[in-house]
Amino acid sequence: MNAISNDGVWFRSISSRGISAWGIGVILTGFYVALYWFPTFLEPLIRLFDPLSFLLRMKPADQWFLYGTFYTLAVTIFGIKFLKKYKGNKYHFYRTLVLIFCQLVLAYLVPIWLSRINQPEFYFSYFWPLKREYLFPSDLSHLYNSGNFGVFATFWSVVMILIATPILTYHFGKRWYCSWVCGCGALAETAGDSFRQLSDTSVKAWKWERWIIYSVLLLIVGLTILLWVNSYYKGEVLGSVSRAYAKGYGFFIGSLFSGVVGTGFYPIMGSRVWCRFGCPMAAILGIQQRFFSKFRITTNGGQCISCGNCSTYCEMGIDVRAYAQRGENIVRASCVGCGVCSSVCPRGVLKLESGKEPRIKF
Amino acid sequence: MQKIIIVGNGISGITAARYIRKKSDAEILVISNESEYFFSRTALMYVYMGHMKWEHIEPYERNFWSKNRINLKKGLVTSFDFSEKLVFIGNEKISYDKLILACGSKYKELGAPGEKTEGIFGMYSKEDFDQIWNWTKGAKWRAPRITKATVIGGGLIGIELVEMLHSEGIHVDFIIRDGSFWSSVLPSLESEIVTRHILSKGINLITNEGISEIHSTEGKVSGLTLNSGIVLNTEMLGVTIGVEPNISFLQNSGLKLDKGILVNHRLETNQKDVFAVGDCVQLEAPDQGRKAIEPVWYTGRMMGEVAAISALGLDGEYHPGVWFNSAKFFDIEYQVYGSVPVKEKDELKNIVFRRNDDVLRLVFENDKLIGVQGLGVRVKHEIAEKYILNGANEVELNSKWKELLFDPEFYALPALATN
Ligand SMILES: Cc1cc2nc3c(=O)[nH]c(=O)nc-3n(C[C@H](O)[C@H](O)[C@H](O)COP(=O)(O)OP(=O)(O)OC[C@H]3O[C@@H](n4cnc5c(N)ncnc54)[C@H](O)[C@@H]3O)c2cc1C
Ligand code: SF4
Repeated sequence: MNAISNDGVWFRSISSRGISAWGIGVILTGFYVALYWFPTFLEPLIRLFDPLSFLLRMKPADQWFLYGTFYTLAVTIFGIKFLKKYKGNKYHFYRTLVLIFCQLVLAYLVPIWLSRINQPEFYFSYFWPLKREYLFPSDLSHLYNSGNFGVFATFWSVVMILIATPILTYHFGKRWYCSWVCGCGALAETAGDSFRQLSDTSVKAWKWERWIIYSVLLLIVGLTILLWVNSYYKGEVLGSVSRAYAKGYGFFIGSLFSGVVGTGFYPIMGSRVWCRFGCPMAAILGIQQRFFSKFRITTNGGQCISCGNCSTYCEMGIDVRAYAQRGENIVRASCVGCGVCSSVCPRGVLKLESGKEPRIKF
Repeated sequence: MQKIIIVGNGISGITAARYIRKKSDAEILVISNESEYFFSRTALMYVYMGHMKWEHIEPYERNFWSKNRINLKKGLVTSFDFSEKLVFIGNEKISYDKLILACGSKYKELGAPGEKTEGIFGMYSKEDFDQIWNWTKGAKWRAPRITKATVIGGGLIGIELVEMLHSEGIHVDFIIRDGSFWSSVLPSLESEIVTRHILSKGINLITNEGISEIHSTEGKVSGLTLNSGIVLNTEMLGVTIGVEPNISFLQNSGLKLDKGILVNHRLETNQKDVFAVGDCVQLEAPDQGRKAIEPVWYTGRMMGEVAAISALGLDGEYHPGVWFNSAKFFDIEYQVYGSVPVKEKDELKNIVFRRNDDVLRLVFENDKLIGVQGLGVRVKHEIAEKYILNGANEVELNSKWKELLFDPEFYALPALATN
C-alpha cells in the first residue's frame, strides 16, 4: 500500500490561508465576478482563445467558451497532479480518471460537438436540480421539440433524475455522482485538493450547513413547481412572479453562491463550499444516502488513535474522528465518498463500502 | 454529590472522565500539568511535519468540557493524603471522594556519560515536542537550524522521530540495537522489508549498535562514540529507547508500586477509593496472553472505561481481550492481532500472503489461529479477533481468510506465498 504525503501542508502559505492563498482567492473571485457580470474585462483573454474556438466550434470564443476551457484544463492538469500524489491508491486512480473523462468528454467536447452539428448543447453529466433547467417546463419542451436527439436527451434527463439516480445512490451512496461524475466535484477534487484541509469541522459549521443547503433545496423545488404550475396555466397566474424568482435564484444561487463563493473562496474556506452548503443535488442525494443507501464508511474496531488526520482532510468538514474513535461507522448525508479520510488515516481505520444491507429496509 | 478527581488528561484520564459523565452526575475535576486541553499524543508527529495544526489534534472542541461539566485545571499534583482524601498542588489542597491516577509514562534515559548536555531529547510530552521543535526548526519550513541528528532506539516512537526529522530535511543517523528494524517483534521477512524501506528514504540506519559516550562542545551535544568505537558527529540526539510508568512522584506516598502503580482487575490500588489507569499502571495479575504493563493508546482507553465503572461502584472488570496494536513505518502500515511470535517453534505454523512488499501473516499454534499481522495490508479487527478467539483452524481459514481484509476497494488480493 502506498502512502501519500501531506508534509508541510500547514507550513506553506498557499495551503494554510497565507498571503498567496488570499491572493489567489481574490483573483479567482474577481474572475468569477467579471465572468458573470462584466465580461468585457475578460475580452483580451477571450480573444486569445479564438484559434481554439474556431478549431473546435467554427466560431469566435466567448466568455463561456473561455470558462469551459479553463475549467476543463484545471480538472485535467490538477487531476494528473492528484493521480501522482495518491499514486498506488486504486480507488483514487479509477475515480480520478472517470472524473477527468466526464469533464473533458461529457461536459466539454460533447456539448461543443453537439452545437457544431446544430443540436442542442446538452450536458450528459449534469442533472436537475444542479442543472436546474433540465426539469424546467420551457427548457424541457424546447429540448423535446428539437428533433430526435432532443427527444433522446429529454428521456436521458428524466430517466437519470427519476430512476437511475435513486438506484445508483442506493447501491453506492452519493459518491457515484459527487466524486465520480459531477463537474463541480471534479474541480473540487483536483484543483481544490490542496485546500481540502481548510473546511470548517466545527459542530457550528455543520448546523449552518444543514440550514443553508436544505433552504436552497426548498427554493429550487419551489421554483420548479411554480414554473410547472405556471406553464399549466399558460403563464396567466404567476408569470411575472416566477420570472423574478427564477432570475433571483440564478443570480444568488447560480452565480454568486456556486461560482463566486463556491470556487473563488477555495483557498480560504476549502474546496467544497458549494457542494457542502449549497448544492441542491447534493442535498437530495444526501438525504437518500443518510436513510436509504448501503453506503457507509466503516471503522476498524478499536484501532483509531484519535490523531485527527481524517477530520482535518475531510473536504466536507465532517468530524470523522468523532465517529472513528468511538468505533462507530460514519453515515453522514454530506459525505461525498472521496475516500481521502481512508487514505490519510495512519492506522488503516476507515473503509468506504457498500454494506450488504441498507440502513432502513423496505 | 460525590467528587471525583482525575490526575492526568491523557487518553486514559479523559476516557474515565467521559464515562463517569455518561453514567453519573458526579462532580468531575481533571488536573493535568502538560496542556490545558486533552490532545492526541499519538499525533504529535503530524503537527511537527505540518500535516495538522495543534488545534486539529485536540479530539474535542474546547466547549465540550464545560458542556459536559468536566472541570479542567492546569497544575502539577505534588502529593496526596490518602487518609484525609486530599490532593496537593503545591500548597493548594483539594479534597476528593474518588481519585483516579492517570499520570502516564515518561521516556527512559540512556544512562550514558554526558547525557545532560543540551540538544538531547526524549519524545513523549508536549514539552519534549516543543523543545525538539525549537532546536530543529528554522524560520522557514525545510530550512532547519541543524543539518544532522541522531536517534537511538528502534521502537515505534523512534521511527516516528526519525520520520519527523527527515521530513524537515535533516540528515538522520538511526542507531538500533538489533540487526534489522524492530526484529524483536517483527518476523524477519517483515523486519527486512521495513529495514529496506527505511534505507530507501535515505536514513543512515546503524544496526547492532549502542552509545557508549556523548561528546559536547560548549555545552551542546556534538558527537557520539558508539559501542564499537565509531565516532559520529551530530547536532541533536533523540533518545527513544522506551518508556516507563511516570511514578517517581508517588514514591513514599503509601501507594503500592512496582514498575508501575499496582492495580487489580477493578483498577483499584492498595489505597481505598484510589484507582489507576493507562500507562502508569502495572496489573497485578494480567490476563492470559497480556502483559502487566502495556503502554499503548488502546489499553489506556479501555482502562478509562473500566475505571469510571469501578469508581462509580458499578459492575465490571478490566479484561482487554485479544491484544491488538498498529503503527506506521514511514509509508508502511502495520497492524497486529493476537500473538505473532518471532521465534520459530515446532507447534507454530505461519501462512503468508503477499502483494509485492505487502505481507499478511496468519500464525497457527497446534492448528489454531493465534495471531494475524498485516504489513501494508489492512486487517479487519472484529474478524481477526473472532477467529483468534474461536481458535479457527487452517482448513476453515482456507476459505475464509479474505474476510480478514480491510483494504480499500479495488485493491488486488494478496496471494498465498509458497514459502
Ligand atoms: C510520540 C508518541 C507516539 C505514540 N504513538 C502511539 C500509537 O501510535 N499507538 C498507541 O497505541 N500508542 C502510542 N503511543 C503511546 C500512547 O500515546 C500512550 O500509551 C498514551 O498516551 C498513554 O495515555 P495516558 O492517558 O495513560 O497517559 P499520558 O498520555 O501520558 O497522560 C498523562 C498526563 O498526566 C499528566 N501528569 C502526570 N503526572 C502529573 C502530576 N503529578 N500532576 C498533574 N498532571 C500529571 C502528564 O503531564 C500527562 O499529561 C505514542 C506515544 C508517543 C509519545
Ligand atoms: S485518521 Fe484514522 S487514526 Fe486518525 S483519527 Fe481518523 S480514523 Fe482515527
